[in-house]
Amino acid sequence: MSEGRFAKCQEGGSTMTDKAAHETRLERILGVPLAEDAVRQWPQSGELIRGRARIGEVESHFVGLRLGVGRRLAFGDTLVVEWTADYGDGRLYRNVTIAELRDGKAIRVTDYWGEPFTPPAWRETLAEQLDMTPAGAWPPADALIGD
Amino acid sequence: MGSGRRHEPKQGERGKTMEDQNIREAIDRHWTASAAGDLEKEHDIYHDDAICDYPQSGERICGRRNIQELRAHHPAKPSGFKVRRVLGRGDLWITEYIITYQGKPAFTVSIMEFRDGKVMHETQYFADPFEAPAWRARWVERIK
Repeated sequence: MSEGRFAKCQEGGSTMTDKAAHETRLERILGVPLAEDAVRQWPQSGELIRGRARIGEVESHFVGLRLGVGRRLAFGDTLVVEWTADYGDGRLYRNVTIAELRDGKAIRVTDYWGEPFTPPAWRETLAEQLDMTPAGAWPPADALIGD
Repeated sequence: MGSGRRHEPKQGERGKTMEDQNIREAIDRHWTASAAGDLEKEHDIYHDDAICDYPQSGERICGRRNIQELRAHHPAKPSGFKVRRVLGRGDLWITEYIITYQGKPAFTVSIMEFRDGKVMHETQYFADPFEAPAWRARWVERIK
């Protein structure tokens, strides 16, 4: 990983911040506050949620999640978080969220939901098993915490 | 602070170096070649011992040649390729793009870690489109 001259990288099991520090799940994942007029975009479904209040409202409809932040990468006014979510059925989504910051707060956030998939058989010889340790970028199921 | 000025972060605005410019150009060439189905040019950006990870499937591909071979499995040329955004600085770059094969689009994110001007580690995420659920329509705007 690069020296950090240009990019700050928290490798290995970055932690979610706690509910005392950040009220919304998104803020706990990012580790930074949301601006009141922040927007959250979901390109896969063409949805945009405008404002911190609505972001919190929509989020509140998802309960019983278990989450783990893997890696936070920061450069300039950009923050990228790779994180893992179990939405209740034991399948681990590997998500990536990109936040644009202004004065330390996220003003625009884009999320991509990485549904798990079975490695195709045809490329068995080309690929090895990705090591997914609790301290790594993609925590395993037992390293996730309820949020 | 709080000047009221609208801040539109522009790629390469502050702190842009020659190195950043070179890498950005290499990335642009990589995506152009990828869209055109030119596998050799597409994989020029990787170190010989580069690693590519697919966290969703738990796969790690080691080596430029293996990465290239894996990608060669797809039909020669995607039917659609659109780069939405490239962000980055120094050795860390991220591209969001949509690649379409046989009419099926996939929202893709590529996180590239560079060393000496070439990629040593890439992580890719593949995200399918889905229908916006009705239950949240009242809090959501539609974009495209």
